[in-house]
Amino acid sequence: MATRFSRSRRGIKIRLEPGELHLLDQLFADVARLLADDTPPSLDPLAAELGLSDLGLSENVAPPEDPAVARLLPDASPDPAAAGEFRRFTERGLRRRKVEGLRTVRNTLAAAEPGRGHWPQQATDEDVRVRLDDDAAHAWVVALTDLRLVLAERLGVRTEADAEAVHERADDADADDPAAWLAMVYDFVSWLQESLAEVLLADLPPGGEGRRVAPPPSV
Amino acid sequence: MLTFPSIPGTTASVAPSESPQGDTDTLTRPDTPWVTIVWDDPVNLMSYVTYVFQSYFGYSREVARRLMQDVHTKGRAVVSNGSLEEMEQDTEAMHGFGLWATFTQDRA
Repeated sequence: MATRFSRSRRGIKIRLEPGELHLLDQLFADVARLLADDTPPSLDPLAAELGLSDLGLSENVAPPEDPAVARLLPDASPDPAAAGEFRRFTERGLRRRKVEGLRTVRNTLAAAEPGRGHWPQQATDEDVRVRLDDDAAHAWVVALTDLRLVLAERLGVRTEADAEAVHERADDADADDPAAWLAMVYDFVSWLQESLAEVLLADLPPGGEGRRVAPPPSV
Repeated sequence: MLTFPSIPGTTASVAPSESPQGDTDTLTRPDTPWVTIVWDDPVNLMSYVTYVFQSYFGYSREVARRLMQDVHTKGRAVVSNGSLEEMEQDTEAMHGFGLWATFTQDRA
């Protein structure tokens, strides 16, 4: 069984079983596939003539058809015209950055080392350890978010009650029930993310960095 | 009055219905600051949302927690304000983090 993420002098670390590592790698690859940009770059001949087609603009202004992808790339405004314009300017870049982050995460999995001798006594010979620098840790916590959003969409989680039902389903899981298996995966990924978010939160200065003034409390 | 052209295929908006859509008054007040709103969802963890607000905006733990609690209990929170360009940038950043954010003109 995996350990929680923890901070050591040499970065953030986690121990995983090989099966857990393989599962996470496959899931992250699935999310990257979902996000792969399959729309052609701007076909506007004037834009091409002016060299603007490399700016990352997209012809696409409609929300993605797959609801999981639509949750990863939501409308940015209740005004459809403004949402479409925002999408045209940001969607390609967002997709690219998310896919790059997923690649960073998969690279850390590929670089996993045997865990023997470096871990608490309950470690087995087969466990592997993954070590993250700050950039990789950030990529991980975002990738775990995107993965959980996709899994939640596939599990039909729309409300807090739905989320609770998924948790209960994972608890008394029947191995032959595919949805229960998905619920167990969701629980596992949530547990991983919680432990990483706590480690990263503890790294931040409690007093803030004073770059921005927070808006007043809303009523 | 400023009007937007209609763009086909964008009507299936997933954004919440509480919106300035159709309220042309806000569009005629260019000096009104814009805001970025983060909406509640049943997936994102409280620790993660706090982490996002603290790391991206540089807010204190206390402010980041308060905003996170507002998102969770009130369904939404204004997380930043400023020019339209700044709010578009913040909204894009929130989407990068997997949070559901929108930008709109503040009518307060």
